[in-house]
Amino acid sequence: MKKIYKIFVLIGFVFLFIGATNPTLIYTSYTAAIVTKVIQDVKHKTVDSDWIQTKPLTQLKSNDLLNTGKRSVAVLKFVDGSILRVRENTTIMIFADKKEKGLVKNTKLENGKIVFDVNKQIDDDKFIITTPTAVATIRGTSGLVETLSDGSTLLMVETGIVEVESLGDKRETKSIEAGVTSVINPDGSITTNVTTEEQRKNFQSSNKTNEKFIQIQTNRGNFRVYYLDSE
Amino acid sequence: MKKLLFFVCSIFLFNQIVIAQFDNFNFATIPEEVLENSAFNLSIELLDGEQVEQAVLFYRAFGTSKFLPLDMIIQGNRLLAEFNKENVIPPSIECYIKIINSSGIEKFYPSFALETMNFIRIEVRQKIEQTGDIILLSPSPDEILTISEFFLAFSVLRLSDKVKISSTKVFINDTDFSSLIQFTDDLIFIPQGTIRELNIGMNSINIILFDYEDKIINQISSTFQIFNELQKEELQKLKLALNGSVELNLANENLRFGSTTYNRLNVFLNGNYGSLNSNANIYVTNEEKSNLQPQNRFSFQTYNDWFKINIGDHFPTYPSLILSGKRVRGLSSSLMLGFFNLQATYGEITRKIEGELLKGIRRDTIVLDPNLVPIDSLKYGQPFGLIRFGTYSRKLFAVRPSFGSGETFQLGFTYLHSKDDPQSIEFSAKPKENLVVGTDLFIGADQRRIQLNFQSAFSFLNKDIARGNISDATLDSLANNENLGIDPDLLRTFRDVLGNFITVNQHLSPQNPQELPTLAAEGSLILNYFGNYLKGTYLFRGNEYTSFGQNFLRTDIKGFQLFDRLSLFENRVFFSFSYERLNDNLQKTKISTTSFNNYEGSLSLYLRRDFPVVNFTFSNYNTKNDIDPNSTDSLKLTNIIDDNIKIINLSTSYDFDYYIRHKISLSYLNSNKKDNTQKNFSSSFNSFNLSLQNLWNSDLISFLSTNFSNSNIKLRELNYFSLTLGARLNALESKLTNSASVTIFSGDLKRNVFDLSSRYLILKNLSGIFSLRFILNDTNIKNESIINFLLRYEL
Repeated sequence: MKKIYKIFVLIGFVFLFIGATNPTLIYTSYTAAIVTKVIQDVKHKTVDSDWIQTKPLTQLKSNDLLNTGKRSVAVLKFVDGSILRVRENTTIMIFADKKEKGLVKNTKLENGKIVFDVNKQIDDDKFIITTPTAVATIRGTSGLVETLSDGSTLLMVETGIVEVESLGDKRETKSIEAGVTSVINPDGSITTNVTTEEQRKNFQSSNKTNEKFIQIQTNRGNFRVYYLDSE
Repeated sequence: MKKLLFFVCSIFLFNQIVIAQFDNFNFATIPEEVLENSAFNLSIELLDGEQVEQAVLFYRAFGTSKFLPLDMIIQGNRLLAEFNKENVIPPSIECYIKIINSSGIEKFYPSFALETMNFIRIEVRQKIEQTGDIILLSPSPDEILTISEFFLAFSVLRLSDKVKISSTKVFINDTDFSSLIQFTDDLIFIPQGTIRELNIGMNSINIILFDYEDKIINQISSTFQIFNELQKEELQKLKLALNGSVELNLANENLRFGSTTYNRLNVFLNGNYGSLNSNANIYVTNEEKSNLQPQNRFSFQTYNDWFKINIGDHFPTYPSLILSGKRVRGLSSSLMLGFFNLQATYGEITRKIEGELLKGIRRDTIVLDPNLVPIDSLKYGQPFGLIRFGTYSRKLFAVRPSFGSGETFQLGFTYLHSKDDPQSIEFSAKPKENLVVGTDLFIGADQRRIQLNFQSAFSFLNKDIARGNISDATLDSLANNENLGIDPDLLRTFRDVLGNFITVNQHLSPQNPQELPTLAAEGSLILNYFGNYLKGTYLFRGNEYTSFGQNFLRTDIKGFQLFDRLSLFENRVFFSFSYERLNDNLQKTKISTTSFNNYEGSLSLYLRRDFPVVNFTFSNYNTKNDIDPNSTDSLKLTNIIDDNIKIINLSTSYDFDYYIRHKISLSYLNSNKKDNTQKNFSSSFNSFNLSLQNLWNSDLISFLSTNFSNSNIKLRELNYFSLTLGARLNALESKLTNSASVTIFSGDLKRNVFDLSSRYLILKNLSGIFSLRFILNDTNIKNESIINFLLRYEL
């Protein structure tokens, strides 16, 4: 009986150790964000569940995944007020770590495009976006992150400054200022250029999450063409 | 008429506004809370029967002694000024108004403001970062929601260790929904579909957080709109969304100087098509007269992210040295591409007003008179005439190309040309022409924590273009005078080149360009680190600098200004200090040089939302010129200046619960001007104000206000006391709002003021407002009344 008791105590310690060292388990409980707007097909998945349809006020905790389908958009608000607009065909994973004086948020962008509008980060706050090739640390700024078909990451900064670190062999770190767009390549190199008019329009159009429609009346009935406009 | 100086009362008429009487007649209306870097409108009601032809608001931000001008829009007895957000700087803005009435006489409000330093004072609150507050996640104020879509979500991330979530109170439209709240970690929410008792239209939310001792630690209020399904569908359709309002205003003022009736129609339309926004405003009044500058207003504006067009009456904004705060009737357009931007304006800034021939004068009876001009002898029988001068039509053209979006860099170049049209009227003289060229630069670094601003402008002014460019014959005759040492070819080249831009003759200035009398330049550096906002400015404005786009710029001044604002204890305590040192007489055109040494300090406390807000300001202004007081030169002694002004202002306000909600405000102002010269223009002013507002319920508010005022100008003393009592009552499910107040005066001012106001919502989009002010004067003065009726239709 004593042996069984010792085994349970040992197993307990093992779980405690794993819990203390595995960030996945640390993060599991904290509610980091809510979904405030859903357009078309948006799904999410928790650690314990399968993919389920997302509705407004869906709470996203650490390790939760969110996926948008074709012509679909989701708007997330983090508990610090920061906003993430998740564009079509995008998958993200949310992590959050509550500190004594702040909250560390890490959004892993698997594929697709997100637009961020991050509130001022204070004390221990951090807002991080991780892609397969880059880690971007954002402090009170807005812009866009997109994974490109060649595996690289495009980062466009609209306001403020973003610190970006590449994950490839050449591992570089750069500060990207407002009005600048950078591409973080799989080899770790970072190229920066002044944002082109086309890129700026791309950002503006990606920022649109207000659903509107045009109604076309025909003798066979009415048709609606839906589109997205600025909030 | 006795002129007295004081703030009397704060009457809360409809929730959004504060009306404060700032002298014995006139009222200023400002938003209840003015926040830094947020635009707002100031409305002044002049009730002493002035027929205002031109009105300019002079304002100064904390830390500067110079007052900047702002053209006001005249709507009958109401004057409107729009403050741009960049001019809204804590802790306060001081302002006064200069008007020119229909008789051409200048007047100032508040009266004697410049002598006693008693200005209209607008408190500006620092924007407190959302770090310690409730973070509202949903709904957003601009969201399009139906009742079934509504949910409430807010975060207490910054307060999670202090807040007792189970005590949290949530009120929507004053109904307590606290029992419906749920929470997860730092997120507090009420799910979708739980609350059905929402208004179609505007709704309000009030959230109050308590700590573990059940004391309020934080609260926020917000608004949101609810639409029905049909409205939402309409809003979602891509079509021309049009809204607006039509206002018909009939007013009669029966004042001691006479009776006047005003009829005004104001139509405002706002529309959008996709991302294209447009608005139009038409204001028509019976005060429009051909012998005054325009009182009617017509404007149309259309804009999107990258262009803007203004047609009609508008106020284009260029670098402040060149064109700012000036009404233009014409066209302005802006192209904003980011890397390259172009702004252009063309229009009339002064309307022609024909003069009058008072008397024809024979050649042999010419007298020396400034109003004597040559006239058409065939038409009027005499070669000269004594005239009342008219006003030429004056047109203005400005263009400013710039490079950079302005986020971190912008370099701009401005060209302004303005000219009187000598043919526009018959009886006047000395038409003028003005040319200004300037450049401006902005550099922002480290998320705009470092900002460098610079602007400069060089002006040319021709004070009489009636005879056009200087002729070759005149140039040759000047060259023949060997004493002048003039090269006629050089002058001819100068005339031909510069003559492409402005008329070149003997009336053109500057005539001593090497001394830069028409140069104006200023630069500022801002450092904003660790809660410390530090700004240093250097300015130089030559004595002859003139821009027709900026009539009221203080010229003949140079010096520096320093301003420092320190935020302490998580933006709960603000300490501001400023120092300014300026002097005039840059081109040695005056008999003495005057120095201005001014400093100001301010302490603002916003300790907690349930603690009183306290503002304390101390200002010291020293003005002295270099004339020796022991001089025997009487001319010099007449111009001697040596004075010191000290101002202390203390104000506090506190919201508290004692059976019901109360709001109490206290303010004290003391200003002392000491004139150290023999002229002894010393003066002093004291004012103490207490006001109390009681919120009995959402339908009933009562208020009480008292004021004691004492002023002493040139040993003439005036004292009075006033008491205001009033209430506002909503009835018929808020369709009817009635307000009434009475203000009783005692002391040197003997008059009582009765105010009645009633607003009735006739239909959902049609409302009528009737107001009456009756002034019961002292026995020797006629009683006065102002009756106002406003019918408003919302499209």
